[in-house]
Amino acid sequence: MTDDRKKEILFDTLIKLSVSEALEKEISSLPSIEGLNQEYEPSQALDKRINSIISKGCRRFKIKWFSKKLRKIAAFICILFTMSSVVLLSVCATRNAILNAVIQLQKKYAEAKFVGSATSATYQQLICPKDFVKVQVKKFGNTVIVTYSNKDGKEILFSQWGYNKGVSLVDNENTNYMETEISGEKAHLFKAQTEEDSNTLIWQSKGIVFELTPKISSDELKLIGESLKK
Amino acid sequence: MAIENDDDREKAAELYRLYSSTMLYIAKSILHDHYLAEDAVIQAFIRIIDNLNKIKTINCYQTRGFVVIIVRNIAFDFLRHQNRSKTVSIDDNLDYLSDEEPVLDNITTKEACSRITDAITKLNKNYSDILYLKMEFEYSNKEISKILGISEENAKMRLSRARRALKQKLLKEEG
Repeated sequence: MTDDRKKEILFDTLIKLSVSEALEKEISSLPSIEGLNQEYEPSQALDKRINSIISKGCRRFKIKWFSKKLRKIAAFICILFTMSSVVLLSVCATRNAILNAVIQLQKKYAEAKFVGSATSATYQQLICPKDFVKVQVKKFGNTVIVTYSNKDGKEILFSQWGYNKGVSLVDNENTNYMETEISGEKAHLFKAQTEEDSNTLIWQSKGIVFELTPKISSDELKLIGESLKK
Repeated sequence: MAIENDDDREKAAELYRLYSSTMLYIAKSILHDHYLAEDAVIQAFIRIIDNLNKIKTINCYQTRGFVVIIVRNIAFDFLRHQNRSKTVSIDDNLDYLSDEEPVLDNITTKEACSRITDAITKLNKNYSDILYLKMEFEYSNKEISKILGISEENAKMRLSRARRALKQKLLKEEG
């Protein structure tokens, strides 16, 4: 630290020590408040204006305070409204999306419900047209899927499962639905609209649900269904 | 800062009740006109209200000093406006001032303080006031600018000139 800087700091310190005394000295040199009150009494006009300034100051602050609060509340309401709208819209959008998905799903599939009690019914053999032979049998739980095939590569899928309560979904996007009867039981026939699509026949008998899905005519399909043992 | 509640209102009313005569006395001694002095008091009071949070105790010499500083500066402003054509400057004869440090090495601190105290009281009031605000009340340049109604830059410059003027006064007395 240079000597000049040291002197400057010392000088500032001395000013700091002296200034308080100087102010006290100066204020003490003024006439006393009591003495001045007698000699320099403010006029009524001055009193009135000062009182008005004090009142206005208070009022102005209150107005300022209220407007500030109001602005904050308005901003809060705006934010709340925007956020609620966003949340509501997203909930609404989600709900619509789910509903649309369900509707789309239902458009594509027809639902067949079966209500009853589970039985210990035995699965049955299908009497197929002559050229069809059994090529595959698959079991999934209480479901048995038997595949029959002929030389031309045509297949008949024959599914059967026991039920107590169940639903079977059938793709009806390219099919026409109609009700029919198999051996006196109500059956559901989904007729293919094109040759490339399969017909589907669903019915129930003695606690078993049968489902036939071949690429053969619906009349043949019904005959196959009727061929099952009663 | 302004009057925010009933306490502030009471404080402002009490300040006026206690120091209205002092304010009038100071303003009148500078302006020599009763009506102008009352106008200066009104202006000063508005500025006091703006700085009401700086006043902690009403009846003490520091608060009286604070009130005196504000009213004195307002009165000087009034005077400057009145005498605009005469261009009275508070910085008269400052150009010759040097930054030479006063010799305070060979005396005791008590003597040095006493000499500085005397010099401060003899300073131009614009300078002594800014020294009071900075050194006694310990306000920042920003606060000082608000109290005196000048720019922050101006406050800084006036403070620097006040220090130089004080040094000059002390050097003069040494000589």
